[in-house]
Amino acid sequence: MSEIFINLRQLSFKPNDEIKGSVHWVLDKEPKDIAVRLFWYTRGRGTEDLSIVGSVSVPPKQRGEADFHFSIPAGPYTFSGKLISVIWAIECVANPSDECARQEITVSPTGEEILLGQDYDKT
Amino acid sequence: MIRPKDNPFAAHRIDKLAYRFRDDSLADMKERLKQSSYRGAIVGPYGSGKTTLLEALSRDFKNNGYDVRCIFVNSDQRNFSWAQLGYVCRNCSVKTMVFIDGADWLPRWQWMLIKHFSKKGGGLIIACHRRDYLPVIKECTTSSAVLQDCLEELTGQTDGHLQQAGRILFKKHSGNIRNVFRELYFLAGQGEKKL
Amino acid sequence: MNIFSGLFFVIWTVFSGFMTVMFAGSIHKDVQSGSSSSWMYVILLFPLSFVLIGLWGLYTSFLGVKSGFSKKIRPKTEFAKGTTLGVFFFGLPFFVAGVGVMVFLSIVPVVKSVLAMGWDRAPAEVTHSQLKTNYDSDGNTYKADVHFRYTYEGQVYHSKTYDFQIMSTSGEKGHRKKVDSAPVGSLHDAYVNPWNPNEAVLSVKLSWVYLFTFIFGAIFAAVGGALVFSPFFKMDKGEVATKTLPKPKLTPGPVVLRCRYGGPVAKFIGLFIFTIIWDGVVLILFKQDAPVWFKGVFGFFAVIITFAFGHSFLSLFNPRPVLQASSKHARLGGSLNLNWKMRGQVQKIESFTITLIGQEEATYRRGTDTYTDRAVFHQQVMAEYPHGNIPSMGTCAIKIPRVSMHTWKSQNNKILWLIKVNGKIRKWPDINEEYEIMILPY
Repeated sequence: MSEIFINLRQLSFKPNDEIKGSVHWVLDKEPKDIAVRLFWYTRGRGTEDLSIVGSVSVPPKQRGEADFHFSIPAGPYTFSGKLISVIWAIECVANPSDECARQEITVSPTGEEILLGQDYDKT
Repeated sequence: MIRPKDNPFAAHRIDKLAYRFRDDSLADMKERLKQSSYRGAIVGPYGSGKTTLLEALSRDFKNNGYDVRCIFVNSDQRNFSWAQLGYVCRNCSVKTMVFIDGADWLPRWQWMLIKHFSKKGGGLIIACHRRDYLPVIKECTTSSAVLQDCLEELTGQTDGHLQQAGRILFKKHSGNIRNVFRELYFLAGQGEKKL
Repeated sequence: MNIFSGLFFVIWTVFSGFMTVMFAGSIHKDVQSGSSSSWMYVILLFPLSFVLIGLWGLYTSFLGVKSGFSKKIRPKTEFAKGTTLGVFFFGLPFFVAGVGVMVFLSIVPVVKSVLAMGWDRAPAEVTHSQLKTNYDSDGNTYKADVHFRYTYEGQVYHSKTYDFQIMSTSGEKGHRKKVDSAPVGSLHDAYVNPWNPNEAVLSVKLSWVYLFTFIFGAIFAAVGGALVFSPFFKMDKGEVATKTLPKPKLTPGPVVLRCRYGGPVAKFIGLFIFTIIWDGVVLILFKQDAPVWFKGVFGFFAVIITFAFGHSFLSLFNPRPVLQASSKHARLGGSLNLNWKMRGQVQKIESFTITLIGQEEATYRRGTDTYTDRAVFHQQVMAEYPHGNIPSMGTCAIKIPRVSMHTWKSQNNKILWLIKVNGKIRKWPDINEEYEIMILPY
């Protein structure tokens, strides 16, 4: 049975931080390629948007372990409003079997998901 | 307040709903398509599942080894670029299937072009609101029962309150299930009690 | 490169250039002979502007505009906006009429006049000279009716053509001048076509009527052509897959903010063009024997459109806010200074507010429909005058919340920050303007 694990020291990051982690996998068959990606995607009322911010290839072996690191951009933050949620994640995908593992992370200056609409105030 | 990502009526959940067949099946539809030489139309009113069914059919053909070419047209953008026309019309073989969602939005001359060039390929299947474009292989309709089934799948709930809300909204939106989901999104976002 | 639009603008530029050159020559001749002042050269700005439009069109057609789209093909793609069949047929009569006016009432007479300048000259005597009047309830039109007899290569011919202007016009003065210049019995040198001596004219002077007719026809042709040809104009070569929005340009220093949707002037111009076209069609319909219900439907919409146009016209006279921000962008947790000035009759405003708004925009595309929903997540009043006495200028500081989301745009989802200016005016359209500002990450 195939297994992919993504290991991160922390799950909360600030913009412009570095993400360092490792991935280890055991696959049923030798893959053609394995990629680790940092991306964000939207959920909510609107059609989904997705943007891959960084991608690295790791050795396409049937089992193995590899380190990765990415630089987080200044934005967008992880947030939820009424219509839109933006979610950051790291994903490891093996082709052509499409086996994958995904780990959601938080990218925000406060270390927590930004909730919009909480500060509806007047000056 | 429910976060958008957790809202049961978020776009990605709605888009994953499968088409609900009532009196027939996908196999029956494919048989009718075969009888019309693989040129047919899925028709129906707004929000009745035409796009969902077209996507299911295109996936089926793709899984069977066909070269599937899909074009989506909508009220916002109703025109092909030259490259897109080329993508649909060039190098077609008997294993090429062209799917067009919203064919009745296209300018007439583009539709005639695609209709002509797609004859070289394996087939042309469209989703539209009109019956005079191609032979009708499926007429999509909605019903309160279909809506209830979808609501159960989306929310995991079968309580009477949700069912009642579904019936009221189905009537309010004249059977347009997409608009029902749209309103339910906002109701769910305000809190489950409203539902 | 877009072939259709390129061809259209080549023809446009050639004809406009031709008209400009012809009239430049005619004006130059008049100025040299002293019959016109040098200020007449200013009139060339009109046909020249059409040449510039043509050159701009050629530039955008052949060199293209950067779209920021990647070139990967994906089955689900988005398309440029186009027109429906209805708009095509709506624009077609305007385009055809405009081109017809341009070609037959302007370009053809000008070309003929220029060619006739090289014809042979022959002595001619005027046999009939009268100002012909066409009486009409909409206004009379006039035409110089001049007949003359001329001798060419020993043979006598007759002609009824004074010049190549075939159209009657409402300008009595110009036609009267022609008649006065050629009274019965006066002798002139006619221009005779050496290949067809039956064809001759007394004057080959380029009339201003040709220029104005060209401009008039070009406007109709442009508006109609835009409707008819926009599907072709918008068809580009590129293939659209994921839309990568260009990075915003950060403008340092004070900046005058621009209204988000072009402001009341842009709205007025847009409605003006649309109202002219629609009401023009309705007027023609009402003069024809169309069914009553058909006239009713069109007439009803004409009334609505005219009201909207009237509303937008009145809005032009509204006091207008001018906002100057210390910078076009600020950061979360930062601040932005705003100076505002009101132009116009400020005393008309009963209440006035300037508000900072943070807004989500989510677009859902499915099937043939597109829905865009908006939700405000932040609202902060920056300046408020609920009981009138609005000063003509003021200043306020915006404190941007720290724990919030910066400006962000993706293909279907956006976070926008806006400054909204609202002013209530009694018995007059209210002031409702939006200005977009960029809030950068903390």
